[in-house]
Amino acid sequence: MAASSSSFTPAAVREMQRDLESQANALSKIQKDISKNHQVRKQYTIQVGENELVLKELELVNEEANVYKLIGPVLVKQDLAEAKANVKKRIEYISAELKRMDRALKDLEEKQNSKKESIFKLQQQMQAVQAKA
Amino acid sequence: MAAATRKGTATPLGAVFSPEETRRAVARVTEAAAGRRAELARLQGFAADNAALVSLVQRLPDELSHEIMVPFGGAAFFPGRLIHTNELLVLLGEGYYAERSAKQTTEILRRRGMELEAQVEAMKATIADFEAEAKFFESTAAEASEGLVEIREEYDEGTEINSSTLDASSSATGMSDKNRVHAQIMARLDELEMEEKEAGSSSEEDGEEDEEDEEEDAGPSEDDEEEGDVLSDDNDHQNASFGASFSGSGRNDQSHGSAQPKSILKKPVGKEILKGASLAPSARTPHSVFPGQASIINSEIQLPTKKAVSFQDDNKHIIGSSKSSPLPQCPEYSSSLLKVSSDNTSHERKIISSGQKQAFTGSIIEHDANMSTFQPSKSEDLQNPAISPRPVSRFKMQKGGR
Repeated sequence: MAASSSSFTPAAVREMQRDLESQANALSKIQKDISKNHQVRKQYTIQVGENELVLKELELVNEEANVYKLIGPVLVKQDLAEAKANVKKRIEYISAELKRMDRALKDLEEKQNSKKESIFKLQQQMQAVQAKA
Repeated sequence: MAAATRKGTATPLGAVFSPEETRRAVARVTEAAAGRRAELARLQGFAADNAALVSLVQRLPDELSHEIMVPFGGAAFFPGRLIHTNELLVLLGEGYYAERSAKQTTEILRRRGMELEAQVEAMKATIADFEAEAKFFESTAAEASEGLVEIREEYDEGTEINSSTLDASSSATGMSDKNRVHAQIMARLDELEMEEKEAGSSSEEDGEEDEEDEEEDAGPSEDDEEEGDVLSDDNDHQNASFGASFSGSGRNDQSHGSAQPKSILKKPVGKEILKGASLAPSARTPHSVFPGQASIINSEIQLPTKKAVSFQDDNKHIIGSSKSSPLPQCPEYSSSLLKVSSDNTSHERKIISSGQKQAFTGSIIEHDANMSTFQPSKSEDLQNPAISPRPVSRFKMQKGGR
């Protein structure tokens, strides 16, 4: 905003207020995104933990044992090696997702901070204008 | 706690942390703690289920087949038999099942149980953290509402030397009672020091005599010196660690050897020292210890220590003096300290050890002559009253002890 503290006109003030509002909205949106990110991250973390547990057990199972996978209402017999590979791939995928979410979270946080700063500056300007007015 | 003679600012604690906000913070934290507690209950339910399952699975292969009532539909049962009692399809997670025997299943369940236990412990830890936070907020809120005032005063080294202002200064900084006592002791020691300086050689002679006596009492402690080095490595250990590290060298109940001085020198936080002193078992020593310790430590630790230099020297001596009376450098002061400490031969030197990171980097070395008699007295450090029995005793003599 180019509004300087010397603009006393009510129009300029209103414009500043509107600007402030929009920035505040953007900030709240960013915050919501951040919290959603946290949720998803938590979910992913739990899943990756569970998958690692499964992998550990699969390692302990001896070769002849039968492994089944629940697909819908059906228990399908699976090959041990195949099951292990699937679980490993799942773990890798989820870890990659987690990393992506981390990066996104960092970006969001940065944006949030910059938004906060701009809002703050705007507020200061408004106060200056109102003080003079 | 009013700042009598100095300029300063008095800010009511309520202004800094408004009681309302603090109470709200307390509420927030307790809410979070409650949430965690619900989670904890859930996890504990899982753990209980797991245990029940383990016992059931262990009973299954006892029989070839079990007679049971099989549930049928929503509200009916019919009699039946459970066969193949050793074959179990175990859910491994993520929709994966494995056929396992009963024994293998119990293994799996046991491992799962351990995981749950770990999670439960972690949850308990977070809850404890929350509770601690809530308690802290609560106390702050209480203080703020009572109108506690935080007073800050400028530190003026010149006026500080006059012990009469000690109280004001200590209260000014808003220190706890212990620190105030500390400061008072320090002030007294300052006076003592000045008196000793005036006394001059006479004190030196006395001190040396005491030192010799102490050395004999102390006994050999060359090994302790090494321990002292070890102690010095523990610079950042707090009182708790003092106990631990010191107890290690417990063999020398009366060892006030070099180790002590080193450890003392390097241990941080005078406050800790005081605490350590209070922890010390010996009844009589805590008081006597304070003067010596407090002063020494204070001098070491507090930034505005008036006589940092002199204290440092004293510390060096004091450390050595505990039983072995090192005194090489500040005979005047140290001798007095030594005398004081003689009374507290058994005192731990915790205080010394706890305090001083800053002051003593090479001071210990200087006491080599006396260090040989030092014993690591780690346990003694705890009490540290006996930094130097002499000084304390002298102090007591002059000030009636604390």
